[in-house]
Amino acid sequence: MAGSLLRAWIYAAVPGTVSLWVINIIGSFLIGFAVMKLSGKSAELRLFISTGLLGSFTTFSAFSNDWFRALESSAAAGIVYGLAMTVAAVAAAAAGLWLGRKGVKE
Amino acid sequence: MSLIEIALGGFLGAMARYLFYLVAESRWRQPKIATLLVNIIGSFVIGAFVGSGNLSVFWLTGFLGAFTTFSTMSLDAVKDFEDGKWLDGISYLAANLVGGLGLFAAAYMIF
Repeated sequence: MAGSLLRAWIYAAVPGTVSLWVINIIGSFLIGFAVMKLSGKSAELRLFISTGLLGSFTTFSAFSNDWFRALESSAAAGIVYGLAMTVAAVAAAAAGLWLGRKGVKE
Repeated sequence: MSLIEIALGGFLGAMARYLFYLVAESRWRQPKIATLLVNIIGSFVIGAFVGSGNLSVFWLTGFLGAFTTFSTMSLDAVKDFEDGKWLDGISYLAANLVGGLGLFAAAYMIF
């Protein structure tokens, strides 16, 4: 619920197709970070933050829609769009895990 | 305005996704499968909505936005990569991408 409202707020605040990139990259970074930071916390809190808040904040359905639109304009644009979003989000999640892990060791 | 619709749709979408996790966890001990299923099913349903010209924020931004997830998919892939299971991670991402796009396109054309 809160994740969806935050997403709607970014849709409104960031114009055009950039908003989905902002949402999916930031959300993927934060879920990696949260997994590490919350590793000792209660199952309920982890479920609320990771599955609830961040799972709902990021979205795949709008991505499929945008990717299809990009493919309609050209095959190359579509393939670049789909791969770039995925690589960027996976890299962001890896960076989040890495940064979160650094904090845990200290 | 439509904030209540988005909030309510988002709540229900997240709960529906959680049900998939519970089933995937108990049936297959594999929560990853739930993420793949919600993403491809959600892509099919959004394709049906967009294809038929229904752009309800309750369904699109609210329910389907929260039902599907990009962050959990990214995290699942990174966990595979960290375990050295490169092929598992890449084929998992490919299944999401190809499945999501294919089902979106199919629904978009049917509806």
